Amino acid sequence: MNIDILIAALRQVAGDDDAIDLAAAVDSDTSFGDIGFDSIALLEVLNLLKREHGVRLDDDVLEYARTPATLLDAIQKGRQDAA
Amino acid sequence: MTRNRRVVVSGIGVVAPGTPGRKNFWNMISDGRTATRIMTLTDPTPFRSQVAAEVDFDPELCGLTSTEVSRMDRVGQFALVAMREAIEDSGIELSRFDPGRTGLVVGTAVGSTPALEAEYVRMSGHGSTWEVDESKAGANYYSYYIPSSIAAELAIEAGAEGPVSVVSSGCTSGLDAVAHAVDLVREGSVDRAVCGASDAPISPITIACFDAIKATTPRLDEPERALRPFDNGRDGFVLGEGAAMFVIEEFESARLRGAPIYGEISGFASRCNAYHMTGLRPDGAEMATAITAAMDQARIIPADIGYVNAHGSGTRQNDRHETAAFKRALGEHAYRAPVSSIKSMIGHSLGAIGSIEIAACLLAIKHELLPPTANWAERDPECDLDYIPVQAREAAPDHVLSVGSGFGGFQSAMIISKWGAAR
Amino acid sequence: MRPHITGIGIVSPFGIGVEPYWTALLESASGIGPITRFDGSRYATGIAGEYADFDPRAHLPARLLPQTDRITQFALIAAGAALGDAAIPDGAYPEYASAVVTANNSGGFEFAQKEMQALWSKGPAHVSAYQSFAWFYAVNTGQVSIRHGLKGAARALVTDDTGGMEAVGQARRQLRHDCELVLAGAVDTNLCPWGWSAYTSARLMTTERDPSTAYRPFAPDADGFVSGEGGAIMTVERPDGAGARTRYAEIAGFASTFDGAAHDGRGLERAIRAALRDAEVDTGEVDTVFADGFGTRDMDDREARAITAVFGPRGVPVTVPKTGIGRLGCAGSALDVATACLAIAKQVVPPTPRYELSPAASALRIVDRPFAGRVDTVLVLARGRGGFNSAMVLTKPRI
Repeated sequence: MNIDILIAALRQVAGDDDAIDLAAAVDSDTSFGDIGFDSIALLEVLNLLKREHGVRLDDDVLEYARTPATLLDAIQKGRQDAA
Repeated sequence: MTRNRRVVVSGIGVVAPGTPGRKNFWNMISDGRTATRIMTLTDPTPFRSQVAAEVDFDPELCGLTSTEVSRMDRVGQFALVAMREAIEDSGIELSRFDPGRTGLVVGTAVGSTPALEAEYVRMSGHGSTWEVDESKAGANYYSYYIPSSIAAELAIEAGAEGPVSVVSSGCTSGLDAVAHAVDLVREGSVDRAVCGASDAPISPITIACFDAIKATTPRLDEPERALRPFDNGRDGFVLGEGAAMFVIEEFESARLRGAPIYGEISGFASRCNAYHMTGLRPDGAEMATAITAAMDQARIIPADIGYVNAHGSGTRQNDRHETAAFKRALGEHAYRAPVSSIKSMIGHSLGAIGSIEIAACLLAIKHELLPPTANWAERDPECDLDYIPVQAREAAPDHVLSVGSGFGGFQSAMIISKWGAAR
Repeated sequence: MRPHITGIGIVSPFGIGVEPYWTALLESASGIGPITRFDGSRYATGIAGEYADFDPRAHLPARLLPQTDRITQFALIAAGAALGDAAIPDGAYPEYASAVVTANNSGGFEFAQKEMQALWSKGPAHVSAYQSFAWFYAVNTGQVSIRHGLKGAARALVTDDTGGMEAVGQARRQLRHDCELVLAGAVDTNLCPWGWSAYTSARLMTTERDPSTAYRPFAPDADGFVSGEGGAIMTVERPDGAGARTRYAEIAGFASTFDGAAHDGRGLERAIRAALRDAEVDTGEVDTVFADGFGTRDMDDREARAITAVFGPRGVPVTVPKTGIGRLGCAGSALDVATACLAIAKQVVPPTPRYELSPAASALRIVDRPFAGRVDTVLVLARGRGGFNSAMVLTKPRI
């Protein structure tokens, strides 16, 4: 479920680029830079996760979450803490 | 730019946060006082960042008529008040000269955004519909839509009938607009120009979009100490507003009329990082290149620079980028040249700030006093220059460097020289 | 210095590229029709020169779409086309010698309308991070510089409808200083409800609903213009820059003036005379004039008087190339400069459709069919509301 939320948010923010398999990117150590996500795009992903899915992450999450996989971990942890 | 026609500044007008007027502005920044407060122009409570640097602006006290107030948004009102002060300061009677030889250039980053937002809210029923009700539009909606209306207002009042334009390159607009006017004088298109910049961006849409990218400070305690350029505890800028306008003249023409001369705009260059709309590469290479090109044009070397007026917006990213750029361009002299950011006191007024900072540089040359960086308390290991913390410093610089950095990747640098110091 | 225009990128109601635009121009085809992008029937003017078939996905990477307004998508496409047309070899210029200068009237207004709606109907948390740069006037300059790695002095100008020509004039200025290549021009669109109402509420546009007769500059009953979208971005290089590559035209002269309080049309006349002086061109050497064609009786009369004052009655062939697409905001003057380049390259003056002219305009020799003859020197005129005037002289490149 969390992975679907993340992929939807990534797609909404950065456009539907058929050439990039977001599901595969989340499942590997591909970095955000590799799939063309810059800092503003990631801030927008965080904004979306928060307002559409109620996922609240710390402001500094982007300091360490350099890959979709680590961001997914943070989302899972955030949701557990909230629960 | 060709060097045979030299361009001097003979009049300055300032509307800055706090009390409007050139003298009030200088007194405030040379005392190290700040104008950052909890915002009052709009309800701050829905926003992450709730501090702003606002002008205590009473249009009537500033000499504006009710029709002028109704015709222009705050950005235009600021510009007009600052222009009148600049013209009066220079003692020039523009009507004595051929109007076709007078130019006018205004910089602004976001123009009449608050008025546009008000028009939107009214026409869309607070955003309830996509189609809007054109019958609810105000009489001046079109002139808010295109900010060249601000330049037109000013040009008609000043009697400028040469080239008239708005330069809108985001947060470097204030430097670029003055440089644009200097170009017009140097190339011989005009002999004098009224130039400067204005912005009054404090409205919900602007606050919300800077919130969304976390560029503005979320600090709520001590709003008067919210903006901390180069300090280790800095966490974003504070939105400001204001205007600064100048009368610039070709030197011979200024000399003939016995004009007061604040200084010379002796060098300018702009570069673009072609990297990211908001991001900066940490090495500061493009800003450094702009600085070097501006110094070359002014025919000076790094050791000639007696003061650096920094962009110093107080974001983590900017202040490191800029410090790196100074080191890259000035070498060892970067550690000797005093640097300060007056944004610590008056916030970041987007397109206007570059011109307000030029005013600060010219006044620093005149008063032989360098304005400080307020709120600086703790060193960031990556920001290790002399930032003139807290208190103004006596010094008599011959050449001053002022820089700006803006969204779009724009990096501009200007050299402002004491008259007679440039070669 | 007389820089050369070496590459042209056009977006117009006829589509992307020079060919569909130029073909339509020679046929006096109309690109004006009922608005499809929103419900035009709700507004005082419901027709436009809209590029209705525009599909940004066919021309731009998907990554760029969520962060850009239609206006920036036009700019990126036009800029890419101009660079492709110029075929400048990689590494031809030093790192900081290539720059972008664009004009803008409104920035990404449709994008901003969406974000305004999100803000006012849902709250600040719903405003996109991209709003921080997708709206402002310099957005096209910034995005184009990033896409093509152009690191020289970037600038964005706002002077109402003279903006596109001012950008090309600024390119010449920068080529005299520290640039060797400037990508210059403008695109524009006001086709969203919020932007459109800025024009309708000011009663600037015609309320005529028949697209085939709505925009008739210099007609006796001209009561307003039609708005269109699109524009042109061009590569401008130093005279020695292009070498054996295509050079469409030289920028021989340029001047801009402001009317001041009088608003009597003398400002345009001053701009024309100053541009001709700058170009060192006599009136007799001008082969054709591209008029601004504002589309209201008083503005048209002023322009007719200015042209007649300089060239004499019926002294020069005059055409209004934008008649079939409407006024493209700040971009119309850039597209007219590009059109002048094409006219010189192809030695053809594009016509203005034939219709009745006002008494003042009867002193103009309007070109009403494609005119093939010597087209070596073209004077292009532009005006903006508030009193802005610009004039540019383009000439056939000297060998």
